[in-house]
Amino acid sequence: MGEVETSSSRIAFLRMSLDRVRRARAMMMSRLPHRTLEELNTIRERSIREIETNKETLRNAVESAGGHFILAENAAQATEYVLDIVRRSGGRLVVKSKSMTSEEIDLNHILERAGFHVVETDLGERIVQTAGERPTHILAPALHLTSAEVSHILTGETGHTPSDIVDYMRREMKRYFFTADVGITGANSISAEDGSILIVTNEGNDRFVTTIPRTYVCVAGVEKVVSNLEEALRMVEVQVASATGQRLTSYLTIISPKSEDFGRGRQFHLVLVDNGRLVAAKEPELAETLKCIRCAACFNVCPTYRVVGGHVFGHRYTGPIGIPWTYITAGSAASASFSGMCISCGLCQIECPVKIDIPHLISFVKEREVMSGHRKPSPLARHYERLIRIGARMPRVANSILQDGPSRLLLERFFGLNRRRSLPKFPSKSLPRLFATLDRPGNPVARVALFTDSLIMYVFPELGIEAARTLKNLDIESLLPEQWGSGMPLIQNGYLSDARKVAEKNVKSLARYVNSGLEIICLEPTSEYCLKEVYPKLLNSQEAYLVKSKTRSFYEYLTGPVEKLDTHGQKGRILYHMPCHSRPLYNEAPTITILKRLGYEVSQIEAGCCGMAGVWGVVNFHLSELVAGELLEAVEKSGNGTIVSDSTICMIQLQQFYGGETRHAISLIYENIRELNV
Amino acid sequence: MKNLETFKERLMENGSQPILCKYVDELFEKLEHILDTVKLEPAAFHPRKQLASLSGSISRRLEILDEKASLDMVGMLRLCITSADCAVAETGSLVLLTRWPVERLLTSLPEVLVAVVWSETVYPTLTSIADLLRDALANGNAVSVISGPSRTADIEQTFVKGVHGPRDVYVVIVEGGGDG
Repeated sequence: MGEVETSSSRIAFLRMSLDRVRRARAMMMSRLPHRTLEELNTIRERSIREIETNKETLRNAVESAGGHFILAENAAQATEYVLDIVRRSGGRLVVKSKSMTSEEIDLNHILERAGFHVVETDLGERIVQTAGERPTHILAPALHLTSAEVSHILTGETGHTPSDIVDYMRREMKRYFFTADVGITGANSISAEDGSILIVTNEGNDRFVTTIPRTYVCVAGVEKVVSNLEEALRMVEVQVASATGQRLTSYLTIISPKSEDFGRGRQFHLVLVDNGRLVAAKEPELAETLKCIRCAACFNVCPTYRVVGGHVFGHRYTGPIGIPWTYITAGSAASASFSGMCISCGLCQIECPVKIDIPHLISFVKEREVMSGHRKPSPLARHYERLIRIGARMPRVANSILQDGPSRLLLERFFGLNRRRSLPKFPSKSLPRLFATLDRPGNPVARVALFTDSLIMYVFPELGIEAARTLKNLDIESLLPEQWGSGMPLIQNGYLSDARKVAEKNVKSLARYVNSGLEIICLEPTSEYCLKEVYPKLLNSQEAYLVKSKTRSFYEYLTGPVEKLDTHGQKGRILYHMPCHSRPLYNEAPTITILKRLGYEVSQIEAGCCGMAGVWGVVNFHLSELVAGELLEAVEKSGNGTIVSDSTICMIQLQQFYGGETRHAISLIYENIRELNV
Repeated sequence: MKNLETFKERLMENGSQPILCKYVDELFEKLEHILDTVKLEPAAFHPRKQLASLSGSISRRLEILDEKASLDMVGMLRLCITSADCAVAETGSLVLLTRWPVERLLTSLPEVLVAVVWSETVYPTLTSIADLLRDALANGNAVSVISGPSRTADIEQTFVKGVHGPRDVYVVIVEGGGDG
């Protein structure tokens, strides 16, 4: 991982920029008919399934129209081919319109090293090119720079306004456009049936690059090919809406090898880049990456990207989906250099317009990194369940080690457990022992099985007891099946075969209860997320789907007998923090429904992740604190007060960084129900 | 009619300026009015399709250019009047089908673009003209879909118009039908 720049104004600037895009996007996406997205999803799935046929259809279309077509197996082949075209053009000046694929194959450097003059003509791309940087965002390359910085980079002086800079660029670029020998663009989509290339820009630079130079080259990934023009148009439409929140960019150019001006001495070259894609297309798990339309919506919500930006969260491809893209096109050493920035919060998946399960893809890539030895091992993540169980068995010894300065230094050194992270103490008894002594309802109306996750089982057992007592007050009997922690730390760190074993054991144990007609009630958002979203993917077994179908959260379950909870009293205002793992599962948290019913005035904190993410926040303390910053700012904005959360993980984080009161939702609910005596 | 309403609304939304022209006879007047307001020189008139009939009257004020004009000539232009082959209501877009590089540059380069659209050529959505575009491409055209001025938000997400192309786009919608 690269250097983390921690200046708070830099972080605020990045967040503000991402939020602006996010708001515009949300508005436009809500206007898109649902059918449009469904259609695109089908188109993307089919185009990846039929990628081999599509590329051959495309080859025929281009060649029969007199254009040149090459499928480059890897980056070296692609750049060699382009270099050859540029050499044969007889000129020296190459103008480019933004292309991520050319970043992927490092085209600029190779052309420049061969003595050619390469000019990026997109303003953002030109800025980072002049600064000698790499784009930090696949759409807005210079998103991280302030206007003063841009002014300095392009003109050598800091005083110019954005509109001065644009005037300056207009004059400067016109010179290049009119004298360029070769024009290179990427593609937003390509229609196989006729070889049409679709390019969108807001600046219009693509129009010059595709029109003036005598040699035109399109460099694009093979996944951009769809079967016909209609599909290509649909793809562009959603790309634009999801990327910038516009209906359409100012310019959409469709250029075809059949265009008459290519018959008058101008040349058309299409360099289709494989570079790992065709192999990935055959691996069911990786293939999903290729559905990506590069809209970068996942960047906007990623808690760590929002703090560190693309220079840290990225290689050539940046952001969440950049992790599998990097793995496919540059290998596991490259992806491992920043995949640790992903905290498995799952927020990206909610945003993706083509429903790519990005978190699962990233776990899969992390597993490959573990297997190839490129990923730094995390013994703490790998053995967390065992360590917690040992601690729970000898709480006094464990607590004296965990709360003691010198031993924390050793733990930091050998396990990566950051010494500044304050940790909860192990209780004298863990949940199974306490549960055995619990009163049971005499004549229960229902019986449920609790799935708790490790922290409630061994560190905060009182929450398990309070949950069971709450249910008892509603005449519901709870059982505690044999179970293991959900395995999220394993998933987060690429130990997928270990995670699969845990998932299998849990599913097997819980399925017995489901088969006897019980519902599985989860006490942690993460445990619910695992049963519903992660295990079915990991195991792909009927049993896993069976358990998923009967899994609910404690809070959602309570919305059933919600009438009984009415306390007819005003309880004052509380702030609610919705854990990330609840977000893919619920539009509105059922916890809010329950708390409102109990008489609380609930305001949800409008910010994403708390930045703890379990073991991740224990190891990456500094980053974790930076991520938490956004949540704390939002809390301050809503006037502080008691924060309620339904995740013990978030609670640990809030207790470390928030000065005010924090309550676990289970405790608060139980406190109210106990008084009720229904 | 609904198409036309949406078209006007979306043109305004993407920063273009719609100008209604009830009768084709008014067209010359409307164009003259734009020229008087904008006052940019050198300006050119590209007599595409139905616009050709105006060449005679407009030649008193403007250079008449065709697709064989030289690059240098086009490079100096600050305003250009041309016509669109069709339009898309939902996205507020002008659609140009062109066979010559210079024809594309006439709409890419000047600071002000004035495009005439006949109301019967306004289609509802982009995908609804897929077949039309497919045929045009097969017949040797390149397609330019223009939805508003050239713009950037690359510097601090501040919108600035007129990066490489037009900062103002006037769309004259002729409702009275073309002469073809």
